[in-house]
Amino acid sequence: MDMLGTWIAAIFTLILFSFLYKDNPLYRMAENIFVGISTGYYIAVVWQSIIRPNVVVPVLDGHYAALIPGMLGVVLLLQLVPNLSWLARYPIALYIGVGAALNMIQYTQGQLIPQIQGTMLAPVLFDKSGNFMAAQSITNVLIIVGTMCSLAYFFFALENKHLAKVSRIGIGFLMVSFGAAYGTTVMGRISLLISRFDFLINDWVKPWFN
Amino acid sequence: MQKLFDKLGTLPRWFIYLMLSLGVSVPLIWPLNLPLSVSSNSKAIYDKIESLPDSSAVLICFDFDPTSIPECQPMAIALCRHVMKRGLPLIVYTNYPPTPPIADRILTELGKEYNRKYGTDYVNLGFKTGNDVLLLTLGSSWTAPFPQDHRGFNTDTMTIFKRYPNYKKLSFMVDIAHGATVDFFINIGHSQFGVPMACGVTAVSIPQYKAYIQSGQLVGMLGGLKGAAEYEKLVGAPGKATIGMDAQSMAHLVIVGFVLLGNIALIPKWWSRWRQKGNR
Repeated sequence: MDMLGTWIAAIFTLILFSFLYKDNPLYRMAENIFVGISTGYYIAVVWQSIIRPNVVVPVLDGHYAALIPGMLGVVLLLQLVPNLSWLARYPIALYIGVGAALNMIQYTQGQLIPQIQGTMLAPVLFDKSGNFMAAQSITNVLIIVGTMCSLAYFFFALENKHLAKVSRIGIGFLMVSFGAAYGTTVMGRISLLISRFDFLINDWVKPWFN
Repeated sequence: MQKLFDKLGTLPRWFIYLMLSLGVSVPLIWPLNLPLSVSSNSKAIYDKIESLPDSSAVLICFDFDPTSIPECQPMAIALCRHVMKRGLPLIVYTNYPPTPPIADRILTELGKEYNRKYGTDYVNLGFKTGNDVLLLTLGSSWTAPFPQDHRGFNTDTMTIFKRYPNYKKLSFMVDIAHGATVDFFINIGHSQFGVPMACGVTAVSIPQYKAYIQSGQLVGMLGGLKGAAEYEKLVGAPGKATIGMDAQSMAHLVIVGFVLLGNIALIPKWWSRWRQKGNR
């Protein structure tokens, strides 16, 4: 049974790789099978992990309060019925209200304040024996200058000419960060490719020779 | 000479795919055993777990789904292995519906290897919807939002939850994530409940979460396949990530090579533009 699974996975991997040559019916078939299977799987998982334990089981046990979120969920789907779509605004309003209130506190406490604190650094540092800590000082200066200049680029209250030079430095810092993001994205995609090749070579082909 | 530059600039796609495939597959067939250095971010997580007292409970969140298994699963295995090897109580749950069986397979294998008892030394709570709202609830109790674990056992009778009744009793947590779940663990788990934390993220998210290490909100971070391989090295159990590192290095070399070739192909164009400017 394991071997059958390996063969199916290997054949589908090769079919999907065939898109690198050009679009073809086999590739489209594999794509459609993937979409169908994942949709079916997710419907089963959502029923088993969300709807059944949070709505069905509590209601059957006599906890009728679970019907309220359940009904709100159903009302949300009325968006698809043109005449009744206005009803869907109420659960959306509730969801946005609760989300905004929660996030306001969480993001102030967990992101805004600690990240501002993180840029409040001494530009010149000395160790306990009074020696100048060059590397750490340069890092701190880069963080301070990079943050200020990048923020200047997104400052829209003044005409750009007043902050042109500062925001140009900010663009430089932003470009470096985009480069880093691009590099790590390539690294991530290569990891996925390695995983497929590892599967094809070590799990599928190698056992033939053993 | 001009022809050579033109050819370099118009390399066929199949040639690039072929070189990349060779770069990835050859080291998988014949490993090169290139040296692997351990970054300070990975070492910080290892040191933190090593420094915890024996009675400290650790939470590892499996916040990834099958699309991120190549990067996240090796991290999860290495981290769970370290916690079990140290003999620390381990709690696992996930914010992604398809992940509980993946977590269960890993925990069962490691539990057998280190002779750890389910429900006392480790537990897999499975999936629960709610994300940040769920985390807020966990601040007061594990068993209220999770009356049963992934295997269907009642959680209120488990020894592990009698000793560590809620999230605030944890000594350390690691979120292995391919999405934004790390954010609400930082916002609630760390900032509100005061539990020290680290994260293991896919390579795409590395730049995003570096800032949290600098601000001291994260103890450390495992980044992509490289981070996973570093942790495998630290715990002394090479796995899938270590196997993939030679291929990763070779693939990067191939990509850098093509970027250089592409730029070399542009030299005649730059040169002629520069000369035109000079003539003006």
